Amino acid sequence: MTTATDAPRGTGPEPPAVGPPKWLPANPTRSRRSVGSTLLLVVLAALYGVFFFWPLVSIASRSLSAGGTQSYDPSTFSLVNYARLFTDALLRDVLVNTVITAAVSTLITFALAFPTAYLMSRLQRSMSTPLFMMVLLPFWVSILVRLFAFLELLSSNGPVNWALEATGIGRQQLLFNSTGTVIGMVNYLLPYMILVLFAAMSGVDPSLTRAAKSLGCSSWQAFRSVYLPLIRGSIVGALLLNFIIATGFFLTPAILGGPRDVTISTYIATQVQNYQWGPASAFGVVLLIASCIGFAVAGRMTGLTAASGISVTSAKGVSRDEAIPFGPTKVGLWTVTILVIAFLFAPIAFVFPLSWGVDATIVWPPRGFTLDWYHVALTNPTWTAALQKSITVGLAVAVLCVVLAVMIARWVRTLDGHPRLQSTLVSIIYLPVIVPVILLAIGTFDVQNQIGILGTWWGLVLVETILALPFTYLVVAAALGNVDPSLEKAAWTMGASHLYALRKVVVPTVLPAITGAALLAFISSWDEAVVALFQTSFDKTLPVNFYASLKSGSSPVIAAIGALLMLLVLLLGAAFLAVQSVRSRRRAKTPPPASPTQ
Amino acid sequence: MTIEPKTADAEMTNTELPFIEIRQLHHEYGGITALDSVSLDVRSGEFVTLLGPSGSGKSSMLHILAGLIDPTSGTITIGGRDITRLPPQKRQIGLVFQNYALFPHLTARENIRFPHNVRKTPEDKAVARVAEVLELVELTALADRRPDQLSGGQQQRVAVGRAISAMPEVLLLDEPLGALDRRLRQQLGHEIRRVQRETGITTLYVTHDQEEAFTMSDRVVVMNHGEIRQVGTPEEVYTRPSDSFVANFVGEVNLWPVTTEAGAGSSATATIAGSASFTASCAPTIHGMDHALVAAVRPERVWVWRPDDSAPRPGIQHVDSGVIVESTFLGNSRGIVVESERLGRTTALLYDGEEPRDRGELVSFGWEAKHALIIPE
Repeated sequence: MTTATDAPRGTGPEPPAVGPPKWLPANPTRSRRSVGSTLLLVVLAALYGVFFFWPLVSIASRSLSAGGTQSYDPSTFSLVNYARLFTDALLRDVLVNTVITAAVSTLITFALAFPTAYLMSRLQRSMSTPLFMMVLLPFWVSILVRLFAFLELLSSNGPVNWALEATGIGRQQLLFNSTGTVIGMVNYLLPYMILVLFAAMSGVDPSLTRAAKSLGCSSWQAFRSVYLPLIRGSIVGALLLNFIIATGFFLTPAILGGPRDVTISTYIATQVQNYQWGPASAFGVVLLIASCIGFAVAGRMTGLTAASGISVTSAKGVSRDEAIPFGPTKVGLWTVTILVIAFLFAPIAFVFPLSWGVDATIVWPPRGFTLDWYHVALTNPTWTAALQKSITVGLAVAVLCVVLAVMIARWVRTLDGHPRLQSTLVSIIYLPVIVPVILLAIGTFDVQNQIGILGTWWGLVLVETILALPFTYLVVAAALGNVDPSLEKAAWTMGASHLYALRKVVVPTVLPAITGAALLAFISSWDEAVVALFQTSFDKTLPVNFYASLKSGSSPVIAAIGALLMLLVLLLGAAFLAVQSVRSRRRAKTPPPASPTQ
Repeated sequence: MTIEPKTADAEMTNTELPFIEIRQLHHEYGGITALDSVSLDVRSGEFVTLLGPSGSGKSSMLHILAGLIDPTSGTITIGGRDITRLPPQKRQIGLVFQNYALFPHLTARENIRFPHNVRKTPEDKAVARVAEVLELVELTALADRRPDQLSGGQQQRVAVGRAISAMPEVLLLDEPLGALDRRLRQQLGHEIRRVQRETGITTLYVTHDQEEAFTMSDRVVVMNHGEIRQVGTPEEVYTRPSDSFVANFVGEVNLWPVTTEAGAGSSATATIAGSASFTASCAPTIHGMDHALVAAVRPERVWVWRPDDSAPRPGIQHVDSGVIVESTFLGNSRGIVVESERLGRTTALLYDGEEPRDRGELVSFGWEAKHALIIPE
């Protein structure tokens, strides 16, 4: 046929409207479902009200009371605690020490992370992916285990000092001062910094610097005048983000800094443990406000919170198209990268040899080989009780987190007509990531004390759930967002109830993601020591017991426990990956789709 | 627009009661009218296609029938049972989604088995029925593959099989061939029709593709802007469109605004731009109406001949003369465009060496009175 008319034609390719029409489905069981979402809202309000907002409000109210007592009467408010932060010489020292330690750590981290991220952004995928996984591996190892390793690595008789002496530099005091704290912080911050910088760098189009060179710039000029300005926002954001994380550190200064190197967090902890709330709560509020501002600004600058989504996913990886030519630059970049990876791996690898020496105290290098310490670790009632508590709490947290995450994610999806309510809800879920953990620890300690549930098993479970939910929610919501809503509707038209469709259709399709999310929640609770430290006295969890033992002196049993802590997480991770790969292999084995014409 | 669409009742024999009765179905969301008081009857075992451009309300209508959208007002009865406010679970309707919505974690067999699991069909009956359906949609050999191991066409068969598996009273299909390439679309269209004939299930089919609508349907419902514009067999809709929208949507057509003077019977004298005039037949819909009219002539009804010759067949009126400005080979025919002073551009289809046919040639052209239809704009 010819085209005589210009009116709309039926045969043209109409863009297929994927998914359902925008107006949402009728809801024959609407009343029943709104009862469900009201119930969910009540549960969430109670959970976050009691275990998140009230603790923060409680700290704020104490900071406004001269004696650090709790009072919500505005007439008794005073700013004397805040004034003391800047007038009291001791408190000023704590403040200055915290800021300097955090700043130095951030700058060293940046100096190491920049070349590493730059090199990774210019490598082919086959090279950059293994590097990336190595950089991320420390995330999976409990911070306490890494700190324990540093405690031994840096001790006066440890391998580092041994090497320093051998090279003629002489022994140095590397522990229980700010040097120790900075080393620990850099180790912790490196993966974060590399992640953010890599995300920015891999999105830079190499043809831009090529264009600059074609216009007469030297390599250095092109780098300075084109490349750096392109990622300036991300650099500033990454620095700010890391600085904020560093100021909130508690475990690292508490263990590696020792009693003399006091930071805001360690100061708060010791004060609160003695029920001295005044300046401690004021410090807490300052830390909280700084964190919120820092995260908001950093998020905007790195694009991590932008509406377009996380910049890691929007990066097209074009930067890898241009490899770095061989030369001093490349050698230098590789040297730094290898050092960084060695620095990240050293503490992890170091734990194992410490756990098999035959001596009753840790000596370097370890002598002989024995598994006795593992036997002690697994039979000593202190440790087995802690192990049991950690496992039950972890399992409860995993179940609670997954159930809540699924329910919230599905509920949030029905709120498409109310974008503001939607974003408020989601931000509340993510908020615990921003709040320095020491604040939640002392806040929930305070609140649970007041309502008389301090030290209970379920009190701990609920706080750990709030801490683990952001990660669980991230994974679950992403997976559920990818489920075609018409799957559920299809099930309804075949007679399936809402619950049946959820159980038999939606959940099975996102099962891998749900398993992964449950694993994340379990590990988050399994490794968490700060909140648990304030929530337990005699019935400690494994990390708290570990922390207490670290404070009271090292022994090969601790090394064995550390090795076990790591092994469990690594085994869980490996099991998860194995299940995934078996799945995909089984899928690959079955014949490919037959040709479409038949 | 106040044209009363030809209702389905006119098509129906008196002895047969409608199986699906849709009355004054109205749906609004966010201030937009998706369906504007639509009424339609469908006989038992009939294959009816809802045809229209995107946003015409055809998909909304299907989703309302399935119970996935609540209508603002109106009623739907199936087999005498009012189902307007029933949840989808209780409607006994099979729905095939545009993207199939196959359950990715289940095999083809398990997908087709799903409604039986929901309804707790006894094991032996369920197994027998699933085997029967697999046979019907010719998937027995591939029954144990998951959707991601099936081609698009095979997935489509699973979707149809699953929808009819529990023997629903009505089968609804929402552009089920939209994602497939043209050849496969034709082939699977015939498949769907075969399955529908073999099962005798009353079927409503949504598409924007007039070719699909014509080859598959007993009757076609042309929709636009939430209204039904015409209901009829494919032939009726093509040869006697009720207005210029329908004429245009279901095929190529030449349209000119005209003024008319009544002639004998249903014929009238149509005048284009105050000069060229010819005899044409009037659609019943224009009587007593007071709005703009157009003359519609399908390209294959336009005849051309050399200006010196006379019309090739008696009954063909000479309407105008012009120059061929486009000439395109189309395989089984040749499409030309004639540019003339009074009619502007006129499209014609030529078969079997009809002459003249080349660009630049002068031609006279015209058509028979019965093939020029006066319809509302």
